[in-house]
Amino acid sequence: VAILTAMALRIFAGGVLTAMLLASLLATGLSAQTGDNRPDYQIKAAFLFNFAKFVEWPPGSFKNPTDPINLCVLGVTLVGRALEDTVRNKLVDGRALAVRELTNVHQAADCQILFVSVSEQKRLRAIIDASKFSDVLTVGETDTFIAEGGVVAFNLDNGRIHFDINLQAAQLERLRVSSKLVSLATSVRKAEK
Amino acid sequence: MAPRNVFFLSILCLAITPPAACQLAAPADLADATLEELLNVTVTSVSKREQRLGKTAASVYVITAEDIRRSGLSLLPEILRLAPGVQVARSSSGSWAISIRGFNDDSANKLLVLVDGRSVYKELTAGVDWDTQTIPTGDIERIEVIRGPGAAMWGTNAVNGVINIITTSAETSQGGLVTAEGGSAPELGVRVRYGGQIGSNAYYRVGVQGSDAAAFTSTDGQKPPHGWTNLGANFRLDWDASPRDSILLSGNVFHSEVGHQYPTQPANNPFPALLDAPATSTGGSFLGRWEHRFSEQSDATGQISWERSTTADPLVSRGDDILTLDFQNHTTAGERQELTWGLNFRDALYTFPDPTVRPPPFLYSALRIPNVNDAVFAVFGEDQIALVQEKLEFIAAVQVSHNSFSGLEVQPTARLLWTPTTNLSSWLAVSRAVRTPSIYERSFDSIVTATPIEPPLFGLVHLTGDPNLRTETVVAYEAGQRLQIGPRFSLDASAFYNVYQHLASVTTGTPVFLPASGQLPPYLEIPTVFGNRRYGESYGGEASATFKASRRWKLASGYSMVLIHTRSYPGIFSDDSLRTAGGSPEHEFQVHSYLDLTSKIQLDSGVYFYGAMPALGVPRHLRADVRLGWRPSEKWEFSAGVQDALDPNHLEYISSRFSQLVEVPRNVYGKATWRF
Repeated sequence: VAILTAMALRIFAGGVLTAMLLASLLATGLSAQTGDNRPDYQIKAAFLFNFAKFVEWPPGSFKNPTDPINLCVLGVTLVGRALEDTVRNKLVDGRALAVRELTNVHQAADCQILFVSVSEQKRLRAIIDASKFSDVLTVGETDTFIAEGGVVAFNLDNGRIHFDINLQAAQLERLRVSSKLVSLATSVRKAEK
Repeated sequence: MAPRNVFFLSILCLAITPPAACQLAAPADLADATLEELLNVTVTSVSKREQRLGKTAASVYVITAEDIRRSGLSLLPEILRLAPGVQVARSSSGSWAISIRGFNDDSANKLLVLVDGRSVYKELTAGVDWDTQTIPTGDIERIEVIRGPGAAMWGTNAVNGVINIITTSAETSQGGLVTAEGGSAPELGVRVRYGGQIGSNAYYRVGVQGSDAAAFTSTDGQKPPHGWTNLGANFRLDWDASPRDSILLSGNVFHSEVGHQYPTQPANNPFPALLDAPATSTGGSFLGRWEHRFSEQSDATGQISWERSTTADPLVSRGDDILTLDFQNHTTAGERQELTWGLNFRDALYTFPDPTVRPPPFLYSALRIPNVNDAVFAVFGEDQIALVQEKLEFIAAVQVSHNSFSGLEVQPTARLLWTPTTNLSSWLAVSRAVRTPSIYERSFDSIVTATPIEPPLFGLVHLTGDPNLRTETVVAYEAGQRLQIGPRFSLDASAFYNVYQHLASVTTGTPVFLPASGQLPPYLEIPTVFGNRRYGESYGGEASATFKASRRWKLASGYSMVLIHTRSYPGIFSDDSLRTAGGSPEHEFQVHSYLDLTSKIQLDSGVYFYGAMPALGVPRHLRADVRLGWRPSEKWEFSAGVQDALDPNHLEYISSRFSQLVEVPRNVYGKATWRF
């Protein structure tokens, strides 16, 4: 009998708790407020938009003065979707921003920024080699990205997203990185003279 | 129990960033945020609590995945040594006694242990079966150790501490991982894990592991036949169902066989003989959690977990069937108050198949435990009030629970946290917590040992439980201080004074002479009964310091002290039912050095001092561990080391539950890890 009572209790308690959870979800509903905690893909997207402001591409990168700045995203990630929301109706130096999600590095020919998701970690070297000397700001999110020759790498530090810069790689890509961006980087790999 | 943010709610920011950063909230639209603002936005996917633990009104220590990796330790119970104030003592190759702030025993009954919010404390023995907690060390993200009562948040039995083991999310364990290790102890362990992605926002990982350890040698030089073997498999799925909803599903199955020595009854001899036999446990658990964020200030979590296992040894076999439901809601009220409340229901059913019938009065012949169902329903609430914003916080919390055995329990806490500067914080706390009697203490009934009196007369000790036992209570007074001096040195110290009432006791009654009858010789039956006839107090503290000597060299040290005095209430003299004062060293000390010789080679060492336990006859022990790690590439890691370099064999603990007396040997080991 004790066991039967217990089973009944379990079922009852389970029902009550589920109901409470649902009720509380519905009641509070979508009273959205914003604070200073965000999913990492939103923060990374906002960084990528900022990078577009603080990097100058070499003359000839854009065929037309009205060409958009192409922000490309390679690999499985939510950053591309967040980036579209971030750059909608935004201009940098009078240029619009276009987000392109790529499936393959060979589609990156006219990208100004190439974000490489962690999902591409195994192919990292090939991706970076393929994008060398093509005037593209490569941005990664793994520890090895800079060592492999990428330009900017995000890292997570105490729950915040920071970034490292490889000026040597930026030089190869003929990019001019503003001193402000450099000063905010956690670590900087110096360019060769 | 669901993750409880409670203590950890506001001040955290200060712990890890310069003060100005904390006030810098990002604008509603991240697209308009400046770079400086972006650098200060915290990432939601990282647990809030982790950041908050740095400054809480409780004595908290966190063992990180990096600490675990660099310690070279590969078994969960051993890893707990890294937290100052956790008393870890190994009594065989597969059994440990682990406690916080004393009262250590095979079933240390005042320490609550949770794995991803699921309590693994068993009401049956009032303790944790450490041999079945075989979480692969590579799957542990961090271990939060709360020294002192945590009952207002975590529930009953969190009397002297809480250990909260948090496993890595599937998102951060993508790809393959193979770990193999072998040692002289001897230990052999293999672990394979693979993590992948389903769609764009769900991740999974699956893993299998096995380990085998031969029995440790007895103090008399014998090698028992059964060591410790365990096999397990687990999975975890993390799904961000929407930007506001996270779902976690995880589960595991395990099989563990650990050798012990059991007292058994030889024919025609009242005195027990020792039988080497394994205790076998097979089981599994499942956990589901749904977390919904209404806003940055408000979230709700629902969690369900279920565990089922069977355990059998020569004395008793049992089945455990435990269901837990949790709900928690966290929200703010005005600018100054943070509220958390929740509900918890736990139903633990312990079943015992019919024991083999043996005629009394022989050992364990009368061990009859009825099937027991313990149900606990609890409500808790916490209010964290900023008396002076950013400077002074008052935290009040209470848990009111009803359990089917002892009825209503009220477990409150009041805490004050003062953070005059970002580098200094002080806290004070007063809490009450209770420990409910174990099922054994309530319904045990058996002859447990024989004692010679005057040949041919002998005595048999008949131990019985008391169904009217009451809960043990503690009122704990605590204080603590955290100090950061420059970027390199930090210090964390806490002190406590605990007053215990109704501590579990055993009382010996008047022996009864039973004349020879049938084939039985005459004997004295010595009745002993569990009770609550002890009280006392304990005091002590913990301190830990870290010093970052350079970018490549870090030192960490810890010290803990616990002194316990217990007495019998006036009237009939009663003894402690646990080795209250004698079960843990009064002083423990440890220091670790983590040195990066190059970017690929690490040399790590640790020295631990454990004071003597004179009541057990365990001498003091100095332990030294050294580890050399080499990471030639991201994919490979090799390490080799020695544990207990100074001592080939030492006695670490004497089990109260089993009869073995074994020495823990030195371990020389090698380990390889391959990621793909």
